[in-house]
Amino acid sequence: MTADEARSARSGRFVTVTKAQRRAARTMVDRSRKSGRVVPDAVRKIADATPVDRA
Amino acid sequence: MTSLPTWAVYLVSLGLPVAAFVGVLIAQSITRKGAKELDRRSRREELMRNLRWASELAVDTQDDARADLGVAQLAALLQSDLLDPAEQVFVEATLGVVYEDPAGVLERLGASGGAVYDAGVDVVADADENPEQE
Repeated sequence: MTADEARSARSGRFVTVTKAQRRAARTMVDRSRKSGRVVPDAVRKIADATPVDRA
Repeated sequence: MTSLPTWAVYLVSLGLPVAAFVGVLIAQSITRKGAKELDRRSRREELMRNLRWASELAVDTQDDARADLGVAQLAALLQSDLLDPAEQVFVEATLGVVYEDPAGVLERLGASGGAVYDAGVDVVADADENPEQE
């Protein structure tokens, strides 16, 4: 992730999720692909969360 | 003295052993079926114990490593053919609880909101930042 994105994350527009939350969201997104169910955008964003280094 | 017709002699002498053999096969088949059902039931019981254990781990907010282990276990359980679709709903409900809080925040933020996660790498210094702010 870029420095701008990292700053945005710290300013609050980005939500920091844990590894477990990201994995859970990814599991649900994967299942929705197979079943055709619609997953909320928020869950999709958690599944696609970009890694940020500890500053 | 009683005499049997020839076909009856053959029937008794050959038919009885064959009937006994078929009976053994049927009994064996029933026993095996029962053993398979017992095995399946015990595997399902173990699976349910794992499901409870994984669910408890997954919602651990104090230790992310334990929570991640729980979620990974739940994801594996979802792929198991021992879980019926009706039971998979419970696993999905647990997974929903895991990301419930950030999902709620992201919904409030709308389209401009995004998600990041801690990659676990310490950055000593950020060249773009003013060191006096630290």
